[in-house]
Amino acid sequence: MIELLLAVVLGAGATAVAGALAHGARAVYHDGLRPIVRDAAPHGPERRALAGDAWAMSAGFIAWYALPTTLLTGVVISHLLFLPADVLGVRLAKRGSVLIAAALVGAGVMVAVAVVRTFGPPLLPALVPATAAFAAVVVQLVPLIPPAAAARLGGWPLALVSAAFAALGWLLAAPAGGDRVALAIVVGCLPLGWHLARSRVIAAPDLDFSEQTGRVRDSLAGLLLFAALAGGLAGLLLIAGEPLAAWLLAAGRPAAAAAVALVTAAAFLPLVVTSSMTSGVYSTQGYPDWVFAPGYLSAAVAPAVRVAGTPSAVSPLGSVAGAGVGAVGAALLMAVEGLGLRWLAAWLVRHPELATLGAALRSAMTDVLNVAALLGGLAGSLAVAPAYGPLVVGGAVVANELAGRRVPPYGLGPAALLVVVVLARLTEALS
Amino acid sequence: MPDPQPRPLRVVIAGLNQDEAADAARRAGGAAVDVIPSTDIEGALAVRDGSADAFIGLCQSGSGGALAMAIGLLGRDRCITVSRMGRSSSPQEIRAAVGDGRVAFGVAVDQIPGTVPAIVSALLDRPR
Repeated sequence: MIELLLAVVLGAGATAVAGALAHGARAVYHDGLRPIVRDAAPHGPERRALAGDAWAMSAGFIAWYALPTTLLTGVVISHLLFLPADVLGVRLAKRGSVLIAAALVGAGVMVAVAVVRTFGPPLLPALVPATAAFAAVVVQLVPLIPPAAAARLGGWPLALVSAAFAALGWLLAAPAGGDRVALAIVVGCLPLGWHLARSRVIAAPDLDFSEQTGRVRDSLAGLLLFAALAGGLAGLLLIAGEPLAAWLLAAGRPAAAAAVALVTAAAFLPLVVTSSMTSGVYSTQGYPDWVFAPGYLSAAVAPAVRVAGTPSAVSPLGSVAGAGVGAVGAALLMAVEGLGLRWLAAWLVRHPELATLGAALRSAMTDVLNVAALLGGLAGSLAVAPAYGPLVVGGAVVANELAGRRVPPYGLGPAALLVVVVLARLTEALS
Repeated sequence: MPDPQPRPLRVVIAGLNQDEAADAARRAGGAAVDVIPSTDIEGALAVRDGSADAFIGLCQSGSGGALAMAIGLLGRDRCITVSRMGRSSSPQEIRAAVGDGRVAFGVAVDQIPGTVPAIVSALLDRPR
């Protein structure tokens, strides 16, 4: 009960602050909104159109990137909270209205997910084995991220070096008492850092972004508050910035989820810095998702707490302590970001290959997520409905391709698996 | 004296899956287009200083990382998102955007096969 109360308060608070930051054009969650949000005057008629644009660019992420994985894992993908906060912040005229509406969205999502976590397994018995099978596939595949990024950066030679490093991390994890997946990811990324260190440096172009970086620094109080609230949720292991981390949390691998969060931060850092230094509007979540890493790591230090698809087994005291560590750690990381933006912006324009590295990591994460979504969907459907599950998942993939890929592959696997889980319950009831 | 051969259209491509987009652009434009994979800052600067004719940025949404630097350096009026996740502007809409003077185009990576050739075709048909 304490965990639920804490989750609702933190979720409502973080979403409300995110809405307020968007309302003041201080920070937005969606990268696509960042360059244009300051164009709309605080009470101008163009805000309605801007809110429409914000919704248009967010709806697909909410429907396919966030919702299916959230329903399966019981871990909230942060897009469910903070993309609506963007829309409300831009759309509503008064800040008080934004705070109330966004807090209601945040609280509603957290309550809805708690209901799913509590009542999902007894109502849909296939949910637990389906989720466990899916999560097992993700655990196997996430160490491929560094080699896949390396292949895009430096071809097969760098990919093989990265794969060898990842294997070394995997092997050394057991004697060191660490998480194999986490260490494989972290050690596998070392050759990418070496590649970046050897990359070219260009003469600094004549660009002045001091007004924009100064504006971000002026927004730091609100950003710190947001980070503390969202980091608290991460300490409860109830939020993830992207589906792979959510699946790892569902598999009881918070250290691996922290490693993925750090890779995600490296992947998005150039994008966040670029879009912020040109717009003066920051990323609500900073470099996603490293603000979640302290919360995850607090759970990794404390013994594993969660089994795929089951309600949390965290003790109330463990929840409060985890949320506290997550909140403080996240706020500290956000402070580093805000205070370091001007320096990092100047460094980034002289080191354009950092953007290439970020793009390679983002592409690699998408590649792995797409494969994991389809294989995980197949594995989950085989686990709970071998007679027809793969047909449902495979049929959905074929239909989607024929329809011009209306649904992103990363959303299709989890969504099809949800259908299989429901079908399994119906066939059981009818037999 | 024969007319000098017009120089190829120079298109910089930045962001996610840029190899796939570059291949699509080369197939669409053939010898009439010079495709230059680039970083977003160098690509936007190239368009700003006139050494490139157009910028195609790629990301998941077609509007975030795809165009952030281009909007900052070229201005919003010269940039447009022509595809988002799961859907793309029509060739006619893309042609109209080019006619309006847009030079930086945001594309969602899942729409590369349909959208990038349409951008290249519209740019090639534009009076130069």
